[in-house]
Order: sequence, then C-alpha cells, then structure tokens
Amino acid sequence: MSTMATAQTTQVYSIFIKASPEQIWEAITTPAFTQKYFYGVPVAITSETFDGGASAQGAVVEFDPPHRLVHSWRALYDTETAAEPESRVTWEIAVQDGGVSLLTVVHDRLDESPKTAESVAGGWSYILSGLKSVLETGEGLAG
Amino acid sequence: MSTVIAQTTQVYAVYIKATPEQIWDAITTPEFTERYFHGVRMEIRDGRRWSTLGELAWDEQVLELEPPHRLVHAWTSGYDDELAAEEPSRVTWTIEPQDNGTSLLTVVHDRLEGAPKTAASVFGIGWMFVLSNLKTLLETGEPL
Repeated sequence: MSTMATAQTTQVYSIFIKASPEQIWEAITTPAFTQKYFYGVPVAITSETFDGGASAQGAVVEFDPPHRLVHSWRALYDTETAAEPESRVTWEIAVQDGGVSLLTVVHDRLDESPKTAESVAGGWSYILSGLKSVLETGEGLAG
Repeated sequence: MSTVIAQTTQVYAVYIKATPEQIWDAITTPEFTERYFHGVRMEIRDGRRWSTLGELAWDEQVLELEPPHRLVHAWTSGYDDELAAEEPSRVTWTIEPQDNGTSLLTVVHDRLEGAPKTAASVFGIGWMFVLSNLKTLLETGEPL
C-alpha cells in the first residue's frame, strides 16, 4: 500500500466469503477458476506443486483440503523477483456461521526478498477481492 | 492470525465492483451502514459522524470530507464502554476508481497508540468482516 514505506516481511490478508470451504478450495486449486481472478493466470495446484506457468512456481509443503494449503513462492513474472529466494504462502479456510467462510492468506519468509514483498503487497488484496466476487456473483472483477 | 500484537497503523484494501459514488453512499448513509456494519446506523452531519446502535449513540469529529473519494474521521468505540474510554484514534477512507467499473476502497485506521484495546478489537478480521460485508452488499444486493 502507498501508506507503507516498506513492505512487510510477514503479510496477512483475510476476507469473508459467502461460500463453503470446499467451494473456496476448488476456486484456489482449479486453473479454470484462478484464471478469473489471479491476473488471468491458470494456476494448477496438486499435493506436490503450485504451478502458475511463467508467472509463479512453488512446491506444496502442506495439502489439507479444504482447510489448509502451504506452498513456497517464487514470482517469475519479473526478473528481479525471480532472482530472490523463495518465500512462503499459507492459505487457511475456516468455516463461519451462515454459510460464510473466512479465508486468510499469510505471505511470509520475505526477509531476503524485498522486491517480492513490495510486488505482492498490493496484489493479494486484488486477488482475494476477485476470488470473492467470482464465488459470490459468478463474475471476476476484470470482466 | 500469525500476528499477536495489533498494529497502531492498520491498512485494509478491498476491490469492489461499484462506482466511487455507490461506495460513498454505502459508507455515509445509515440505511446502508446498518446492513453491513454490525447493525450500526452512521450519518455524516454538521461536521461530525453520528452513530446509533439500539439505545447507544455516539459521535466523532469529521476531519476531511471530499465526496466521493475521501473521508477522514476520529474513531471512538462507542459500542463498548471499556473501548470508548480510550483515546480517540483516526480512520481514513479512500475510494479510487479502477478499470472495468471497479473501485479500490482503502481503510487506514491509525493513531491507535492511545487505544490498545480498540486496536486489538478492530485488527484484521474486525475491519475485514465489515469490508467483506460491504463488498457483498454492493455486488449482490444482500449482506453476508
């Protein structure tokens, strides 16, 4: 964000979504879904890999559907971020009352990756806002 | 949450499929705010923001008012006696138009040094529940 002089090395983003944990899990791990909100990138996630093609890559270290996913993160869309050490992304989905779930994304281990930290600081809010719109209205924000 | 200590400057951002004018109405009109802001009716009038929740009523000073892009006001947690006894903090709402009929709403809650219990209460999912609910109301016509 523009008000932050330095991007934080542990970044936490949360959003409440009118959807079940299973629906959110599918939206995070299915390329046809991610294409609608992840800057147009089809992301394939298995218990082994986070595959965002030429945009981002990572190894999955925890895979516990539909509640918890942890993977390493290397942003390849920029040569400077691609040269930095891997950071880590944790997705947690917690069921709430009334058919609502709380999705929290923690992007940490960014201490040695300042360019990546700066790059993703605004991006996660956009991605989570788009994900919520896709699940609640059927349309992403870019469409 | 991985962060235990609430920050004294908190920044939250959400992208909403709505115009700045629609978002402005939603944050300044009591009929709107009561549908997503924990039932609190909020109104801007005479240089102050007036809040009511059932029999409770409180008000805060408006510091900047630039419809439909910027609203800055003092924050007092009038819904809770213990929090309300703390020093006032500050909330800045910024609304910026984006492409495709989308707007970026940013909320900065700062000057929380004298209000540690308020800082902890609004931190993270506190503000994000309100902003998630506001987004759902504007995009689907119904709150969460």
